[in-house]
Amino acid sequence: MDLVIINLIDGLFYGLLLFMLSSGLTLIFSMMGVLNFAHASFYMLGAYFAYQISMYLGFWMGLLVAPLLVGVVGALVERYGLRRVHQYGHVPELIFTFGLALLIEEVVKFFWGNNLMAYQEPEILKFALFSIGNNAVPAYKVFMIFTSVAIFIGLLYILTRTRIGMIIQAALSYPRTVEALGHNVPLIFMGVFGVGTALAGVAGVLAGPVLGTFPGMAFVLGSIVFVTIVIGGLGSLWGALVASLLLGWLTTFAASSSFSFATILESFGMQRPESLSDSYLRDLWTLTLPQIGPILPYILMVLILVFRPHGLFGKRDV
Amino acid sequence: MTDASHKTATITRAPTLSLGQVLPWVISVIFLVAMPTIFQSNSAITIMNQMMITIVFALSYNMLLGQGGMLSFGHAVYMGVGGFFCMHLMNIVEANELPIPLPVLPIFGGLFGLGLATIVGSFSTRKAGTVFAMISLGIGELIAACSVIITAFFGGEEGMPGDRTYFLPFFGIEFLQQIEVYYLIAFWTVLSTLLMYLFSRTPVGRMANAVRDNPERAEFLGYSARWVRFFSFSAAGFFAGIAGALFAINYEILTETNLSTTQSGVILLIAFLGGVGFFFGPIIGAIAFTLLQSVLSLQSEIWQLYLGALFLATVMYFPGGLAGVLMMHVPAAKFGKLGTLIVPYIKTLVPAVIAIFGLAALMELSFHVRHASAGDDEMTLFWTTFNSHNALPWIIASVATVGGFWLARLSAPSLKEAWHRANTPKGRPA
Amino acid sequence: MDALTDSIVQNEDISKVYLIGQDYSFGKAVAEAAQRDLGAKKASIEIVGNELHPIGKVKDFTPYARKIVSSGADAVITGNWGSDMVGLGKAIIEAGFTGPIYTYYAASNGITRTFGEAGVGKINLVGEGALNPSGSPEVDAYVEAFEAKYPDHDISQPRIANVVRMLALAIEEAGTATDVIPVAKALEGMETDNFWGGKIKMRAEDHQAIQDVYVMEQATGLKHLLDNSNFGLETAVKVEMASADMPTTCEMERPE
Repeated sequence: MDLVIINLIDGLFYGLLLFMLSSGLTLIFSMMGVLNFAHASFYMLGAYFAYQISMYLGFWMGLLVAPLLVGVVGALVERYGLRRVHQYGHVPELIFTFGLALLIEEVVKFFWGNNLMAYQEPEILKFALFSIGNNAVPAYKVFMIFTSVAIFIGLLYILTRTRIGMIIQAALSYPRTVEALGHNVPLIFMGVFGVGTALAGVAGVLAGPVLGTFPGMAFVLGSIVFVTIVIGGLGSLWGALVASLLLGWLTTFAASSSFSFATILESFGMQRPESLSDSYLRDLWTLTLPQIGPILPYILMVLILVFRPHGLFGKRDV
Repeated sequence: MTDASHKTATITRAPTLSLGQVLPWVISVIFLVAMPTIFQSNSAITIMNQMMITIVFALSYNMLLGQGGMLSFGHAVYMGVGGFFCMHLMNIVEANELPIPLPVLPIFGGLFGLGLATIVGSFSTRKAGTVFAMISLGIGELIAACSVIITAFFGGEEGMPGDRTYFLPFFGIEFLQQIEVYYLIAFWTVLSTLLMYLFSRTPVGRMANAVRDNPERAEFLGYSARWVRFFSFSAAGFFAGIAGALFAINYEILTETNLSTTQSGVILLIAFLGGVGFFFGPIIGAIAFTLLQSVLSLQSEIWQLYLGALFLATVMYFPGGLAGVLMMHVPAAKFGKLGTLIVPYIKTLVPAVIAIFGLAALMELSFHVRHASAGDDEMTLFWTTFNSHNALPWIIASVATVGGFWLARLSAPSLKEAWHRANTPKGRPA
Repeated sequence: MDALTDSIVQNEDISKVYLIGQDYSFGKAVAEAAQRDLGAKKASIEIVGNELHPIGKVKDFTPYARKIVSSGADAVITGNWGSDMVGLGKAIIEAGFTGPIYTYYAASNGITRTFGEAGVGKINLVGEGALNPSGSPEVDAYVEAFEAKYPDHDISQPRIANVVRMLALAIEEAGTATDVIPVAKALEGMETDNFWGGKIKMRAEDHQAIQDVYVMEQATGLKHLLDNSNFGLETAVKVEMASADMPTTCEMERPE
């Protein structure tokens, strides 16, 4: 029972981290109609920027400044890259962001090399807040959980309760009408892209010390973020939240279970062969759920796309 | 998708074979036959083998992206699975001494690729665009992940090795030597290229273009967009399988990297660099990429950075790829004005190339200063050896960059004008 | 593995061991060898977990760490490397695990630095050469010269020093560098001074290098540090001529 509670907390942490990434991605998608393949690369930039800043000014300045920098980079990419490719259509846009992801990884390697960066959480949060059983819950993780919840509430408030949020929402659905009313729609698009990437930057700053800061960090997380918003339904903020939490708990519980596929084979009345190396099913006999845990999201995504192409909460097709 | 791709769709079919249609094929065959006599070294043949396999794979990828408008992030899977099946077939032939000659192996590879593609295509081709791209990504990740879990079939991270020499000798050839393998691959490359070209001329191939450009109109004409996509997808799987079989024959081992999403990304890069709007685009892309990879990776540690930048520049400024750039000159050539472009080109492109090399030199310099071992200040760049901590190389590189860029900017307007004039028929005001 | 399990067996505090590794040949080999050795050396040691995770695919290792803590394990053995090593190690320590983590590749390349204070006394590494204390003044000089030339790198693979030395000796003995078979024959059964201290012997039957193996602990305040950090590895246990008593089943074919 203790383990279930602790897994719930861990899954919440991982899910909310995914949500910080997927919320920005889904926001950008509802604006431009294109999936930003490079979104996780901005997450990586966030971690590296914050690491560099924290060397001189400490963690908190990094948390403050790095996302802003990432947002500026994102806005520049939109202004000088994406806007140009936009005229060719959605597929070239997707290819553009794919190339951008490659380029950012190489640029990071150029400046920081291949090694892991010793990016650390702040000293003040380096303690175990409480323990369940023997399992400690670090204060830093709790801090992260609260930060991401605060970001979600803030985002929701801005989008639904403020004037600027209204204009953004209107510009998403009827860009021409909004433009005719005298608003600078390209500027709004650039701003939303900047904010979306800055959110990814925040996620990077916060996750860097926990999950490691290295050139492969974007690749490891990149496609999972994609999967999240496809499952949740493209363009839906609530969908992104639900899917993030779902995937967070799914991967956590899958990894912590000790379910073995041999149980299934035995329930079919099969006998475990004496010598496994000759059996064609040898991989199934030794397969466990934690082994395939990380690919469960992909299975889920393919199933969802086949049977419910607009995702759990999406209003339109992908 | 691009202006260029619309043009291919509107080329009308000639009723009979003309010399202009046959000539490129004849030249290619002569070229392929002659190449090993010009470049005899083993490493050259290795590179050419790799090139030809990449050509088949890139062309098969373009059946999806260029001709069918389907962006796939998991095409390596079909090549890889075709290759893995061939590897098993190779081992079965070896164990049972089956009387099968090696040159027919690619047929089996193609059939296995086709088999997997029909299964996946049955649900993934329902929609084009993002849905298709996402399903291809998901399937790609799934099968790539399976490759380390299902070791009985994929051999885990050690891969699946085999031996091509146990096949029935083919007219006395046992394929012990690289050059024999070269001609085997060359034969299959020409054959598959021809078949893929002919496929693009069939009604199904034509409809794939129509569905890509406007699925609704195609539906109104009575064609099922889904079936058209399904056919293209299956055919692409078949030819990817052939490429996988050729890979298996050439390298005698397949590993999980053959299935990885990185591999799928690379083929997208190759096809796009070459130009997806034209049939021959991916061929150029495959040749250019293989050369670039084998040359640059020896010269520079940061060649992937250049590659990424080149790719991004292509997407932004030349969405037609290399083939698109070449085909841009067809109208001017038709007007007989191609010659008028040479001087303006030299005036702009030479400084631009100098600027690019200068920039590359600056990046190499900073990379060397940052990452080389302490005290190791010497570096070699463009066949000259110098001290990277001296000011001189930095000054030269900076001057080349800024000066080249400035000169190119300066002459760009006159190039634009010359371009405009060259593309205006004679007797009309420019 | 022989050295590693020796030091676990000697440690009275360890009665439960958890094995975890990447799902590929090395990860599996570590798990198999640990199970076999521990079972043979001290039957009272219980293996409370034996697990493989996909290589390079796990983003958050916390759930694995939770299982390890909940299993009541006293020690962890892993063959992980790179980001999988850091991710796993950090997660285990953060989850409140207090026992030692036995590893093969948990040092240098940013890993020592990233573990930092948290890794002190917990991260244990098995290697063929030790720096703190070093075997001789020559070793000190060698390490210092390396650090001066490559300030951003460490000697993370001490065995390479012996590899080059032994190869050079063999070439000298064979009198040829181009004909590989005499060189290989000269290497077979070679016994010479180990650069890191003691002797090194290439066992003729199975071509295993029998040498002293060190189990080292992450520590601070040492002479030779790693990753330009304040941390390095300090020898905790030295197993002389490890695996020398292990029987061999090797029946390799040799060229004539």
